[in-house]
Parts: sequence; C-alpha cells; structure tokens
Amino acid sequence: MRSSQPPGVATWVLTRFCNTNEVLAGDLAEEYQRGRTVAWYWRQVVVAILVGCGNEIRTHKLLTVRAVITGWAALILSGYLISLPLYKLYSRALVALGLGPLRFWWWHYYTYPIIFVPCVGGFLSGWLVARFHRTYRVAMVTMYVISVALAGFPEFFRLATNSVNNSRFVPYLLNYSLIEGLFVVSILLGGLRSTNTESARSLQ
Amino acid sequence: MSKRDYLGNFELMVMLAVLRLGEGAYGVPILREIEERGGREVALGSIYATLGRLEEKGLVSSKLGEPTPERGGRAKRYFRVTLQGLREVCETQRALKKLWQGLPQLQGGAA
Repeated sequence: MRSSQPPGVATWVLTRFCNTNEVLAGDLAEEYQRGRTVAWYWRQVVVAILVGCGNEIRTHKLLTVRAVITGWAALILSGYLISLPLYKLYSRALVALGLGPLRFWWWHYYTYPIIFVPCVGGFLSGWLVARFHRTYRVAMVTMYVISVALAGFPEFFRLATNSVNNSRFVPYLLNYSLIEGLFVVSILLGGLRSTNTESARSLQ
Repeated sequence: MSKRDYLGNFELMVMLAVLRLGEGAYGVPILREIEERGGREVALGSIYATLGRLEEKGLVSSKLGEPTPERGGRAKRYFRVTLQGLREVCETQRALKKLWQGLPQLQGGAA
C-alpha cells in the first residue's frame, strides 16, 4: 500500500541540496498526497537539484572558477602533504615486513588500503570547496567534481579502448574506474560533511 | 533600435499561468495550469527557477503564505505579476503577433 507521506530519503536529499527547499518540498508533498507516484517525486527532486545547480553556476561564473581552482589547489597540496607521505610510509612498511614493494593495489589484500589514500585529499578538497562557498556549495562542489571527472576521462577512454582491443587491459580499466569512483565519492562526502556541520550549527 | 530581452517560451508560459490564477498562484496550481493548458509535463524545480529569474528582473513579486498540515507544515509562496511584468507580456505578444502575420506555412493554424 502506498504511504501518504512522501519518500523520506528524497525529501532529505531535496532539503539538503536545493536552495528553494522548504517551499518546493511543501509543493511536492502536496502533490504527492494528491496521488503522484514515488518515481514522479524522485524525478522532481533530481530536476530541482540539477536546475538549481545550473542556475547558480550560470549566474556566478567567477565564483565557479574560484571554486574549481580552490578544489584543485587543495587536491595538489594534500597530495604532496598527505597522500604521498602516506603512500611512501605504507610502501616502506610493506618492505620492512618482507611483503615486497607496493606496485598495484590488487596485488594482495594487504595492499587494498592504499586505494583509500587519494580519497583523503579528495575528502579535504570537497570539504574546503563547500566551506569557502557556503551559499552555493552544492553547485560549486558539483562543478569541481565534474572538473575532476573530466580530467580523468582521457585515461579512462584510453584504457577502455585498449580493453576493447585486448582483454589484458580489463583489470587496469576496472582498477582505474574503482579508484576514480571512490575519489569522486570522497569529494562529495567532503562537501556533504561541510553541509552537515553547518546544519548542526544552525540547529543549536 | 533599442536592445531588449523578450520573454522566453517557458517564461511566457509561467507568466500567463500566474496571470490566470490571480491570487492563488503558487507552485502546485502553476504546475497544473501549465501541464493542463500547455500539454507538457514540467518540473516544479524549473518553474521555481524561472520564477526566481522573473522576480530578479522585477516581472513578478512573491510573498510567503501560512504553513499548512498537508504540506508537512511548510508555507506556500504566492506569486503575482507586476505592472512591469504585464507590460513585458503584452510587448512579447505584440512581437510574436507581428512575426506570425503573413506566414503561408501557418495558415489555418497547422504548422
């Protein structure tokens, strides 16, 4: 049986990621109670977020450029200051334990944690972008994520093309996709973390 | 010739829906008006984005209403077309009429 209450997760996503959240959430709840489907509700939420982001990016182009530069600067800096030392430390620890040098993360289970090292930088950069662009954080973090995904696309395309021609490249493609995917998620989580912190502060 | 912005297709639809609804123009009735009369499915997010843009241009104004239980205690935002907005709608209609006239392809309403 269909509940008279609109989907809770969708409402949470809407109020968290859309600027016109309260009025729009009220309208959606009203329409849902009049018999609209769950799919309709989710579609409205996704479109509202995308349209909101698009509008904010279009009306704040300079701010968007600043957000992307901020994200990349934080990413490069965290790479040198956090990811690289962590990677070297882990690699040395493996050698010291007689497990050999670190080559690929899928070599053995003990190398698996290394795929999370770049995520630390991703999380921090996402958090910083959201923190420095509080009013338009969703749009700014989204644009930064798009720039990261675009930067990784040529390598993805190269590996995908190679994999079509030669199945030997498939593990490389999967490895790259997994790392890129985790990286993008870590940026989004960083942005979300900033949103959560501010929501908690505003409730106090 | 002076440079001016005419209303876009969707902007015009939203303005006309707000005009038709009068005092009761908020998100849901605007959505229904456009879907029923315009014959196309639209997203509430697009309507609010357009209304926000029109409000920035001074073509519509808005005020918050009372929260209601069926909306989960959330208020409605009522919109109305300003005088400047009304002038803009008339101007767009005039421009479209001029472009429409004398087109053999559109004779009889079929395009």
